[in-house]
Amino acid sequence: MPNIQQRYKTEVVPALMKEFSYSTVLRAPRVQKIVLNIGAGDALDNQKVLDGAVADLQLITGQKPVLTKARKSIANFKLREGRQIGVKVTLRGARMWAFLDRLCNVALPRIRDFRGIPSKGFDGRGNFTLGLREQLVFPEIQYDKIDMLRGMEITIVTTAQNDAEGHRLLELLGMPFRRD
Amino acid sequence: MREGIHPKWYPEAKVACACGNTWTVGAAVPEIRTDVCYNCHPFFTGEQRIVDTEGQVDRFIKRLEKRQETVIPTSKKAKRRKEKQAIVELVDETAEAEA
Repeated sequence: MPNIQQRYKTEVVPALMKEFSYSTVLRAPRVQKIVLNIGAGDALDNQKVLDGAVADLQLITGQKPVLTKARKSIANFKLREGRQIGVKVTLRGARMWAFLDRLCNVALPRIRDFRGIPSKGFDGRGNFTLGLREQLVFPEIQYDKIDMLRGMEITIVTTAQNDAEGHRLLELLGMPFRRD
Repeated sequence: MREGIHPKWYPEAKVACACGNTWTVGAAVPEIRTDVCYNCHPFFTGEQRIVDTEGQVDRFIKRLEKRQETVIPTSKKAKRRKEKQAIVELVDETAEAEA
């Protein structure tokens, strides 16, 4: 199962070509990028939360995340425009493939009571988003070094035209979807 | 990617699972150890056993055994409860007769 990038070329693309009868290889859906986002609204009270989130994402992805800022002020949330309220990181190329490998083959099986990931995370245009409850499922994160449990959203952007194509692409890459 | 701000990258980090399976993957740590991987997790292999990381299954079985041991010799409380139930039944019947 590992060496996911190579497997995409040698196994996944031919399988997709056959199933959806594309006229050219370039029509076969590809994984374009993976975006990891941690929304840290509690950073408003405690700036240190952001440092923890940055450290976590950095260790998981091997890439330094970007601080996201409030787009507009919302008084009810005591939010002012421009305050730092989250971190995100965009993965492409080699790091993206490595992350996908670690996610599907190590991190997801480590989720408590794992029974497959839901197929309803598709957005209608072939991109898939998955929410995680705790960062501990990634083996890089050590239990005694974290400041708090925090989840994240993982979005996999593909060039698939619809959900069926995207679903099949991820399934062939080894994504453990729930079987009903 | 900008130079100098990202953590060290190990393109050939080793992953070792408790089931004996190993492979290499790019990661920010040189070595990854894990209890379960895609190779041995019951969901991936066809759900043939229950994952028991915290001994919950053992604890449940033990509790079940304990309960069976204690239940068989009926306690005073259980007897009293039975008598009470009998009274309730009687009352029910008379109530029906009145109605």
